[in-house]
Amino acid sequence: MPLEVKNVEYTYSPNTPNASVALKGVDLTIDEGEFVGIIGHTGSGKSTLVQLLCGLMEPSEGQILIDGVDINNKETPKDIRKKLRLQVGMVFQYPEHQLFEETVLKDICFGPKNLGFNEEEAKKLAKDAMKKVGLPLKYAEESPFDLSGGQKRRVAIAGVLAMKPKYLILDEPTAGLDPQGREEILAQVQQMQKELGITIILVSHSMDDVARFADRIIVMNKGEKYLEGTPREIFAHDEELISLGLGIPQVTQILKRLQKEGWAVRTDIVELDAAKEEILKAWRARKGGNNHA
Amino acid sequence: MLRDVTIGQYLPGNSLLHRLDPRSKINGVLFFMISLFVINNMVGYWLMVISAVGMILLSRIPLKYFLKGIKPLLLIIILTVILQALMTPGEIIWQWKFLHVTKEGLIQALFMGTRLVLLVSITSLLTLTTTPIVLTEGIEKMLNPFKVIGVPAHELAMMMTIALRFIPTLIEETDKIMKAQAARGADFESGNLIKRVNALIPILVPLFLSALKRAEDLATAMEARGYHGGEGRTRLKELHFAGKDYGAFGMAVILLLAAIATRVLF
Repeated sequence: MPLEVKNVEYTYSPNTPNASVALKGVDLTIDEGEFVGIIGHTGSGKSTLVQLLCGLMEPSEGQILIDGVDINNKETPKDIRKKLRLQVGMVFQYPEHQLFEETVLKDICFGPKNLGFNEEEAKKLAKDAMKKVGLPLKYAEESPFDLSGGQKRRVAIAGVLAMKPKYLILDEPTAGLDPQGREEILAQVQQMQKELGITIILVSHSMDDVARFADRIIVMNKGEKYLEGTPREIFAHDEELISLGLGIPQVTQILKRLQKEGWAVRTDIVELDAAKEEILKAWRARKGGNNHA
Repeated sequence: MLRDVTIGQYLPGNSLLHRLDPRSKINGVLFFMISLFVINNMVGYWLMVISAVGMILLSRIPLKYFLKGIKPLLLIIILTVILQALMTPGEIIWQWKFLHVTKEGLIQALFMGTRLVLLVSITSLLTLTTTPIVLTEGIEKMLNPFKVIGVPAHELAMMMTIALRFIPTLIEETDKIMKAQAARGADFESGNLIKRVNALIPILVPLFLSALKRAEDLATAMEARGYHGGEGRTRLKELHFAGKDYGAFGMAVILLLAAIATRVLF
């Protein structure tokens, strides 16, 4: 069953001089098993949108439906709403800032315990989650504060994953990590989607990350849904994206440049490997043409 | 969740009160408070109520902000009023067992209540119309003469500025951590007292960690930019005492004199 957003608006500090509209009239549907990327400039409303999706805030107008049930409808019993909300796991920006327990294992157990699992079950879920995020079990009894930045982040992601969410929202999961750390985290996120069937919603302003992994991209601008489509469709709007301050993936940029220089290449390619093939093809064609001349 | 805290809240505006020099405003509040404790009869109270209402109207700030400021002190105000009504000796008008309310008590209670409400409203008025940074700057300038007797005016003001500066940051941080833990199923609202106190640990540990880290970073950043205390430090925006400030000072003096007059004359 999908995650639906129906005509949602959100205003911070309503009815005061400081009121600011963060979202207006947003409609979207996220199907189970999808990998959706949400991109947008700072202040475009993307963080607000995902916080509404996991029920941490209530929309000023409109509805958020999980499996067809409005999670903010007061007529639905509170525990049912809570259960629905917890199907949506949320990994915040810099999630390592939420760690608090003495050991890694205890911290990851926090979520499952809140869901009502007993000590044994929680530990089992926590260890499973550690494997999924690629954390060696030898860290289980260490203090999370002694780990490196990248490892801390894995602990935090495992803490959310241990709750077995159907939908997993990641808000800038790679911010502040080195290139290798980025790669590893993103590869693991993709693995979760492919192997565990978890729906992934990746919020980012890195075009390259989103283009590579997402099946579908939603572009937010000034609180509105600006564009929606597959990466190829989205990055065909390169000039609009650049005027929004977002830009396009580096490989697409190279292809556009080559085309401008008179090369016969397609420019709707967003993956590195496909781009390499395309350039090689064009290069061979050129060489072949020259030989004939 | 925590965005609605009103303590020290500033409300942007461009009224005369917003534009006054902070020193005039602090001085005005000081004189108002002294007057409030000078008066002792009905005429005096009317004087204070009318001048307070006048200033509130002048600030063009909606009344609900003042009511919000009074709300947290409501219990203390009610308690004071009740104690005054019950404890003042005089002409008894109502009695039940050992409790008795006197006419003098009622009047005293009314006066005390008014006094407290005005006190809170007028200090709210100061913070609502003045940004915290400007306010501490005013305090620093006013404390400067006391440097001779060893009052560290600049350091006090800097500490206040930093503390005020980090209130919204810490509130935001708390909000973020609360949301993150809520997303992991933490429940802060139900259960008995012990359960609720325990529920605070997942918030307090990360909050303290980040606050300490922030303090350290800030100290390093300040030193890296050559901060060495107040000696020889200049300001980007100097405070200027303008005509309206002398006017405000004059009004404050007149208010105090009028308050003394009501006490002597009536």
